[in-house]
Amino acid sequence: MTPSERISADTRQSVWNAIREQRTFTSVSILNATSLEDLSSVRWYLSGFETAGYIKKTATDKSPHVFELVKDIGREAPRVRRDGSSITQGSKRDQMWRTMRILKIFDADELAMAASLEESPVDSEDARSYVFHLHKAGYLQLVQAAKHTGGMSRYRLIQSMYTGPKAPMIKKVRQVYDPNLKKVMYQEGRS
Amino acid sequence: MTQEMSQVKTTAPLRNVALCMKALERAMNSPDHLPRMVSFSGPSGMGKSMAASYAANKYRAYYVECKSSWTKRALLEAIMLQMGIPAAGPIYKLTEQISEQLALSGRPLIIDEMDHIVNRSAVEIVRDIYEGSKAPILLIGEEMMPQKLKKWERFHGRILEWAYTQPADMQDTKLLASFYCRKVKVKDDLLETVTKAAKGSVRRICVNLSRIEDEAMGTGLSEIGLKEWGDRQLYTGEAPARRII
Repeated sequence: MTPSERISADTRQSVWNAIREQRTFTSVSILNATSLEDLSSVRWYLSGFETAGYIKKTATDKSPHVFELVKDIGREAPRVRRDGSSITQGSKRDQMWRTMRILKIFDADELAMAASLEESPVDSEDARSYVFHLHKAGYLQLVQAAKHTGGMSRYRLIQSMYTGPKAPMIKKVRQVYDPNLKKVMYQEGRS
Repeated sequence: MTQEMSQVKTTAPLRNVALCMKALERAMNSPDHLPRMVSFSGPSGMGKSMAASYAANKYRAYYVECKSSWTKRALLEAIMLQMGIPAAGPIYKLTEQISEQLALSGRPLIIDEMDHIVNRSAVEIVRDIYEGSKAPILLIGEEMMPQKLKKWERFHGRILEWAYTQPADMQDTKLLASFYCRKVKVKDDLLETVTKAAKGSVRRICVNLSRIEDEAMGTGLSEIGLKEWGDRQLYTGEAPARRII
């Protein structure tokens, strides 16, 4: 996930929170309840939720339109784009993050194996890179170093470092970002 | 490679992953008048964690693993951490918030190592969450868990299905070999011996398969069977017999 997508995920969540609070709303009432700066960006999110069937215009011809929440799926905002299609990016990292917690001790290949779904396979390279960065960032403890004859390093997820359900992100600038703590946990070249 | 490979490799075809998924899916599709809690139990090493992680990923389930010290509140807080909800307020409030989130999101709840709280009042909280949400709940634990749960009469009647792990078989070994032995070809006769030595345990199969790959790499073999393996030991989980020199 790129930083702009992360920002957009946070904003989408704040729009969704306002929708759930108000149940019946207009784009203006959402604007007032969030830190968004203009109506057009509020509408951008609303149109995605509407196309995907989470909210509906009520039968009035008032302008601005009055919407109501018709499909409440709980606290977590639906991950949809403007055209209503669902966003799957980042979900492989979520799968790995979830799997680490369940497996407890693993190497990168085992993680890739256990985290893979038919519709969302995780490859070993990706698992290796993710594990490498999370170890650097202090989430993982090295349990057994790779032998030089082959084999892979085994790691354990440090219990107190399970910060929440959202997977820490490796950013393009080589950072590990924890969306639960909203904090950069590791940056390459800085110790 | 002799190992059979499907297009995308997942743990789904493993016997116990499949059994666990079947139980969870039955709970998810259970009609309103039937219970939506299922139990999946068996000894350690049978691949319950692999099953749990596959199920959790497939349905984005909320997953918690119980500790023996857990009180009602500890259990609730762990579930709320999963949901990203700050856990503040009295126990009944937390229970309500969890139930609401489960009911609305439609996502299942997986409670692993359930036997750890089976003698504690935290069990009643699981029942309350279930009653408040009617959400599908998968309970995972060791082989004695169903027995121990019977003590909680009002709980027991809410279980739709008691599923049990089955011993890993040759098919499982073949699938696991495709993950653990990528650089060497392992012949069926050795895979069969591994299956037998493992006595149904997925963990032992995995340990042996990585040993086999290590050995083969170390001796420069690209293919290894029973003949090449020779009289090397396989890990059986038992203490090795004394060697007479």
